[in-house]
Amino acid sequence: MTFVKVTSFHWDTHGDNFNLHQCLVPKFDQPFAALIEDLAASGALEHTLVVCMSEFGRTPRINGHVGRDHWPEAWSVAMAGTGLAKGAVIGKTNDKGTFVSDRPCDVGHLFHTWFRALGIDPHKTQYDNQGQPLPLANEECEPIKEILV
Amino acid sequence: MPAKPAKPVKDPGPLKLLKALDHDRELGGAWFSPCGKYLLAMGCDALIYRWDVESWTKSALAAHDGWLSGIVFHPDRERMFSIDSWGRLNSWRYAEAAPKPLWSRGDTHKGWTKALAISPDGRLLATAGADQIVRLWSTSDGAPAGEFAGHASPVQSLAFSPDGLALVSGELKGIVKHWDLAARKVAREIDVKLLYLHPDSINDVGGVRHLSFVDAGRTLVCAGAQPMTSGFVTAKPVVLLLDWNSGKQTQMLQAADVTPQDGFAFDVTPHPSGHLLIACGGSPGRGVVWIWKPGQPAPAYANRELLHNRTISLHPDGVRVAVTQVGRGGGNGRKLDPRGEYLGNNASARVFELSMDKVGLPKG
Repeated sequence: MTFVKVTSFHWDTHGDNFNLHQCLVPKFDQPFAALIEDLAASGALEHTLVVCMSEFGRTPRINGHVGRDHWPEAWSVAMAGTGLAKGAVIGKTNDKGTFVSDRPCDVGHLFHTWFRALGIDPHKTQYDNQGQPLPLANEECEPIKEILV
Repeated sequence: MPAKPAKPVKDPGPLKLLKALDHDRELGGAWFSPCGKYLLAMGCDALIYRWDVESWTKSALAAHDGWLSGIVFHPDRERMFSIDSWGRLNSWRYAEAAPKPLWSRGDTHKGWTKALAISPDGRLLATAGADQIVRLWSTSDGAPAGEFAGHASPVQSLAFSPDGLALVSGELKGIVKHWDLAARKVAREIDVKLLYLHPDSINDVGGVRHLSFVDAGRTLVCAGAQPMTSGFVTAKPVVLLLDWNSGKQTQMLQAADVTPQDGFAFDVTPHPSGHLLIACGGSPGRGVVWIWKPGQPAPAYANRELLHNRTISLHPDGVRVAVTQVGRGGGNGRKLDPRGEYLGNNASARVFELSMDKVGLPKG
């Protein structure tokens, strides 16, 4: 299975968040939309999983430098392609955008979901590091069934 | 027991604190009204806050949709105009007991609206923002009065020349456009690219954050920063003085001890003595207020205890000064208040008594 990673960087906007986002967002938004449209038009989206994510969110309010600091309590992941329901929105934050108020998911849930979408058994165990058993996905988590077809 | 000796009182220097108007949310800036009775502040919660400068009572003016991004006063000293990040432009009689907009329009610009200016005769307002268009509006009813296109990046600042013949607009990419208001076209472009950086071909950093005219219109003031990096945005605050006739730089105001953490010169206010009052805000924990006489090589006074400064306003009495500061913010991670709630940011409008006789001669 081919895995391709594309990185968009300079999103660590601890200063001047809004002006920087005016530069960053179009540079991501337009190519990302074009990628999804091209994959859909060619039919490749039926057997390709596209995941857009970051490692944490940003503080809901700005700091003294008009920036946003790290906020690991709530953020979002966008996904499209094989095995996924279209237009599904799962989970939400409270009205302040500070904490998850409904259907929290962590990265273990995401790995289960991605492997299910790709037809890989997420409960499979690999043996790595001199034979150490390593589950493909966190055994305490489950796939996010609402977004799987 | 013998009484402890009294602690010596620290000389506050030229800025003696009269009042700290602490606010539990962010403020974008605050200005004294031309009548001198009020301090009006731009809220980030779609409200304009009005403090009575005698009683310090606070009231709120509600008719906006987003962050307040500009406030200007009419020469009649009775009307005020305000604009927010979503492009709503309102006209007010700010001294009424419970002001309501005299007129309001929500369609001035697409995207973030960043700048507002009023012509010296009080007939025109100019607005601009992320859509790179400069638009003119009638102050009497908000009717469209013209527009100028040609900027290649978001417009961050505007100013009319004192003679009313020109409008200048400053953009993110370090260009100031001089618009001829009679001919309704661009007269020239002034390059201030010192205020702009394009690191790694990704982000546009910096921009012309403030424009104004001083010295009876002979000098154009361009303020912002010398950006060093993106992301954290390390930048050295700087004010460029340009000869209006030639467009050439006559002086660059940047103190010798400035650091890349000191950030942006966001606001510049002229004092009748000829000094410029300059508010700078930088990385959390940094900032400076300079009092600088143009022509001198260094600021006559620098206050490094004032952090995260956004605006500086001089009261019509020429003595009181209001400096608006935002809080430092919570930083990275899960910093919560004792109730377990998210620790948001705050702001303060600090009112000082300015003693120009304590402003020293430039050092260095």
